[in-house]
Amino acid sequence: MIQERVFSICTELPAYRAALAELPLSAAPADDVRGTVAVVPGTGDWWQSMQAALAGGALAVVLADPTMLPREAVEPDRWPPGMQVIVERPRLRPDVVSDAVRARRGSPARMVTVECAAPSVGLDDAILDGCGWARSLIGGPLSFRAGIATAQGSRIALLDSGGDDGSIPATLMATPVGGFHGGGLLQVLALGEVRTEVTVDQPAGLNRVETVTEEGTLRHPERYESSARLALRRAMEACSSGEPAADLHELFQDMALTWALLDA
Amino acid sequence: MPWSVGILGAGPGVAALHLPVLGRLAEMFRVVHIADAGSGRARRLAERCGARWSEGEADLLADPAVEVVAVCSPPSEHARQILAALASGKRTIFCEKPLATSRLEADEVISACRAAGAVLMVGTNHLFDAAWGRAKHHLVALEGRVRAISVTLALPPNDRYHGVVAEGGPFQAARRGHPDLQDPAVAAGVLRQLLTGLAIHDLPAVRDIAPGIDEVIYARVAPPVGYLVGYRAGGVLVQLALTMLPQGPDALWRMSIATSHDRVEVNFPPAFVHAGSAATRVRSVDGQWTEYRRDEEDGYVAEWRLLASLLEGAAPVEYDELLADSRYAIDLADAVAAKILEGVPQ
Repeated sequence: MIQERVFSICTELPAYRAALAELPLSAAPADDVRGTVAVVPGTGDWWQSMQAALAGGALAVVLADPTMLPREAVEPDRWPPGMQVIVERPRLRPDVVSDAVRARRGSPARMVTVECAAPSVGLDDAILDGCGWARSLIGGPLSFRAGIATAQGSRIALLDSGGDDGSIPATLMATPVGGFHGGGLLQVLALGEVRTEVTVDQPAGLNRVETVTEEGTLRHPERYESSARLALRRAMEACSSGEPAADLHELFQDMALTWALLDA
Repeated sequence: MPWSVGILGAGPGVAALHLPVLGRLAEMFRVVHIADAGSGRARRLAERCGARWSEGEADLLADPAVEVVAVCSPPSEHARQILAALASGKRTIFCEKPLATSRLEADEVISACRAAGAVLMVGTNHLFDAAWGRAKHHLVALEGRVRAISVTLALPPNDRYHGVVAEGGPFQAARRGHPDLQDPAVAAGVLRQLLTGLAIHDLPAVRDIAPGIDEVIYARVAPPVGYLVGYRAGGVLVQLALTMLPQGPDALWRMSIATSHDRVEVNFPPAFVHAGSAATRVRSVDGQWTEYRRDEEDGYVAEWRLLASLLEGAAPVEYDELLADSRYAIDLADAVAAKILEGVPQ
């Protein structure tokens, strides 16, 4: 019998302690960050926390549900390229994104619309993940073209892919709503010969992807693996394979777009 | 005794839409005359309903049997034909959307109808959809709390729906080449046509909750045929999105209204078919989704029923609202065209 590698995971987050319990063969808890996959909470100044994990000798970092930070708080160029970072984005789970993209079978979107609604405190984070969905469904980075915010904090923006083979436009509409649940609602439509409709509603516990073609509607199966467990598994796979994960790069792309949008 | 209808126009909208709808409302209306502009289609349609047919509009407008003139010709003809109908002594007009293509035309038509005391109805069917009526009631109660509106259309070719309500297609003329959308003047013209031809379905409803157009934020023609338009109406942001596809899934025709608490989503059925009213669902701030049942009747039937009510005097003709709706669409189309041409040497 081949003994699989067991990774040490350093985390205090309850969701990750639970995920650890769900990975008894491949992961084990550790108190010290050195040589471990260090889980950095995405709250507060998570960039500094990531730097601390790096300085502490972490093998890799899982960044858990990052919130938007001010532009000046991060220095993307200073992160060592070989250091693996997996970003857990519960509204933008890579397995759900993969379901959505794969079901399009290469049919390009003609346009993408994103609508976000969340309490003011969480609206920027919803926009961040909305930008991520637009990027994923269009298949490349997006640029900000025009936008506006009202005094009440609602926003609309026009984005596009600016690709060589013709630019694909996207729009983002965001509205602050009342309530106490910070998660909010994301509704994404990729329109074209294949239509993708994504609804992520955290207060409702809804994470739904539908693919609509001339033949009908496919509602993709629900993903029951926790977002934290998925992130840990991906981190361990990235460490084993040595294949660099694009998560941090994509997060910074989405943050750059969100900053541009928030500046408008 | 049913009201006698004369129809100016014999295109797909008449064959696949108005004649079947009027067939459903036989106790209220009967078609007595159909006129085309020389295509010969009027005869085929008229023979089936025992009506007269003619070419051009003069015979129909002179026909004493015609009580209601239904203007179903291309949009550029609407205002002129309404004025011609009034001049011929007709006093009831149903006009397919849009009412007019310029502010001047709209003002002229409404003034003339008001002066003549004519009954005028514009066929903005979504406005008469019962589901929209209920959604609007909910939104009016939330006055001042509407934050954003989006109207999103993804439409396959109309022939798919013509085929289930009519025979003898294809009804759509083959597209003659692709316009050069890189040319801002062409793009502005296309966008103007799409707004006054397609967005017009929902603009009166948008105006109900977001009157005024303060600023166009973006306007873009989206290939193959479509648009993305964003504008501000006071504190409300409005986005209009359209893509017309050569093939693909069934039509998506969705109006979403984001308020400070709820999100109201109205999904209209495809054009031409009779699938009942729009389907409405509301998402409350705590993540509860409520889906409301569809009504049996759609906006097409409802608009003709309302015309019957106007004829019976049971409802007033809202000249000011009709004018405001028409101006809103024209002003938006003009502002959007200007946005496209911004910075382009004229």
